Amino acid sequence: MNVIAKIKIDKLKFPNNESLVLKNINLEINQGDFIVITGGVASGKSALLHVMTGAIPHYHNAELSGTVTIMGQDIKEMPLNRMSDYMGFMMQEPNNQIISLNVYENVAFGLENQELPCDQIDQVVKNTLEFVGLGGYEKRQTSSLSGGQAQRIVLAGVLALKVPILILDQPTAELDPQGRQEIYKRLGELNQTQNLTIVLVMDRIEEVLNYANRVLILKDGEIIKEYSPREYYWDQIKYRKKMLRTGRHFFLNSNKPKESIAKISDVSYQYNNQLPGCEDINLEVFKGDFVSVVGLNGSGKSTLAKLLIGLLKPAKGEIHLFDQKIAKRNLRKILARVGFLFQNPDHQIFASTLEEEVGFSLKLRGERNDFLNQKIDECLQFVGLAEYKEMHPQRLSRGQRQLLALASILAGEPEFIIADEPTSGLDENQGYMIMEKLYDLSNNGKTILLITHDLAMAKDYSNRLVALYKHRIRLDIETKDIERHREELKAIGLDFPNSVTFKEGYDDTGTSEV
Amino acid sequence: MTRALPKFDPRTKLVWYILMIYFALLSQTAAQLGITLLVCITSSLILSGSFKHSKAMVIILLLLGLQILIIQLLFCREGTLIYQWGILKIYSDALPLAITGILKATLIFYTSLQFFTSASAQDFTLMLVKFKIPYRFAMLVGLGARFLPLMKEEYQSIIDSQRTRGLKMDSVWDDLKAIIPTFLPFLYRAVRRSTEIALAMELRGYGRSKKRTFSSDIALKSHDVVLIASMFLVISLSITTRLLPLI
Repeated sequence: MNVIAKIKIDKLKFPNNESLVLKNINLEINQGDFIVITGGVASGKSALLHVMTGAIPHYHNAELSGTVTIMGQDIKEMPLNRMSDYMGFMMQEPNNQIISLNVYENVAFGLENQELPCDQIDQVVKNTLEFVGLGGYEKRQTSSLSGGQAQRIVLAGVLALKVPILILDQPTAELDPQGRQEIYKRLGELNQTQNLTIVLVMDRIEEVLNYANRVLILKDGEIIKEYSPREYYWDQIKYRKKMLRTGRHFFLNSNKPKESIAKISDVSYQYNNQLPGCEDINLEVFKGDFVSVVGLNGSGKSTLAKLLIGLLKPAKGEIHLFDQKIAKRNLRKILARVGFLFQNPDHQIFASTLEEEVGFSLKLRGERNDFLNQKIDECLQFVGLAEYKEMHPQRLSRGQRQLLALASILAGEPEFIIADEPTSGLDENQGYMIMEKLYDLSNNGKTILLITHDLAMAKDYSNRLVALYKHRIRLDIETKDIERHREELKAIGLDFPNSVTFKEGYDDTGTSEV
Repeated sequence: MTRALPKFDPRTKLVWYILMIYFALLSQTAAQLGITLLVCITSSLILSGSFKHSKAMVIILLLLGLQILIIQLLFCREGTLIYQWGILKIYSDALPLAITGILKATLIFYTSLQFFTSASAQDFTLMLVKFKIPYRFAMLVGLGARFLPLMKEEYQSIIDSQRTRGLKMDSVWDDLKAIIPTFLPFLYRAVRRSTEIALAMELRGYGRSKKRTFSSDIALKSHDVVLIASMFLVISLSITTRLLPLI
């Protein structure tokens, strides 16, 4: 086989950091490989990709000992802006990679840097957009794209360069299951038809296994195991079977009168740009509920959450929280009983230590110092961050920052917690860590409303499922009834995975074994 | 703001903008300024068919006009004294000077709005490249146009996030007190974002050579040449007539 890249890293270390980020890496990538790299928190996945692209050592300050050659070229000798001849790199957040105001200019960006003439650029841009399923989008403003479309535009910009290697860092982390499938399918096609070499880092990799030929597991900066997709699949089956044995069950007393926490009646909302947010929503959340609101990207899930806490004002209908109609005059009082966990923890973290961050809302309420300190310790203990109490929050990993955001919210002792895609952008372990904490809170009598497009987690943790489709509620069912509604859910793009056979149809023997 | 203005080359629009600013600064009477403003507004109306996009500036101009009026009434000491109440004195020239000031400000504001909304960010970039400005600087216009709204959206999300934690933002004093919890996360995000954008650009070959092509181009057409020549002629004549009496 034709080796396209050789990565030999003895050690990689960032300044002011004691531990090694990568060590003892010896990896050969063959032309046409579709490699999936996965691993836990701070395992070095992204660092490895940054080394492959030359961002380390050219862009990020790091001590790298070892050699990385791509198509026979030592990356240390190559300027970063020449790497676009060999590889395309796609990062997680599409908005940080869309450079131009309209779709056409964005896809053309790399080609313009390669000094291609206008007519050639035109042809490549149109063909590439067609390939990613966005033909006719040339004149669309990039600001009007959905998350999935934006991801595909970034992919188009990279593919237009006609590079032999594609490096992708969590390319589908913000997409719904349908969007993820579309991207993987197109990548699989490219790998098969054009012999494109793909290296992809993903935390939840089951959906991409159909297309990959190698799976690498990273831990503490080292490649600890290389699997074939089939071996990885069987390993996961065993793991999930074990997980199922410790399954979760909700014991809501159905005879007890239900206490209403939130009631949304005939609510509609339309954004300023005339795009619909929510239409004719009727929903009641009861004390002790763990409700998962699911739906495809753009179905109105986040709008619903923002309406619930008064960040958006409904154009029609009424919202009651704790039996009080939400209005400007009582919003502060009502919100004191609600905790809202945003998708991005970085939108709220500002303090220079964890304890200062957690104590912020208590300080705003004018709580006494002894109570404040006790509460800070309790909350940090609950999320497992007590030992980092005096650390700067920006030194934590993304998952830990999300836990810190949760601790900050818990400090206010909310009765009702709304979590808007709290596991987005986190790896499987981090995601489960957040979900376990929410589950514990639910068992302690808190009411939880979870906005998510992670169908497996919604199924595993909640007692009620609300499915949104095109800004309306399509289904409001108990989670135990999912099987009965599988067809209706499939029809609106929500294909709930079986807890064990997450990769149905992969292998006949596999299915029978399960 | 205009439908037909973009048909002109951005350089033609730039010369028009310079011409209007020149008149705004040199015209001394309300009549001269009024006529120039009328010409400017008429050009927009003819070429776009509506004032729809100008609506937003009316409130700003009203506030600005009110400020100019108050300042002139309070501090103008030219002409004859027409009213006195304690230390407050109003002179006869205050009102004409206020009107001239308001017209000047309106003309500058309106023509700036006309210029900056009549071309795309790409057109501005191409214009700067034609003026031999290195593309690394010229392209900052497009980048700014892309990322400023995104940053604004992000700042709003941060404000929403902190408000749900109980941060009061009901008055100007509250807003001032909220600067640290809202601006610091914004700063951290901005640093992360700019690092990623710069990396994404470099890895797509940005800056690999001194030149790059663009997916579109601008070229002066005959009507642009005629218009630019005419406008320069007007400016030259105006400067000449002003300088001749001094020689």
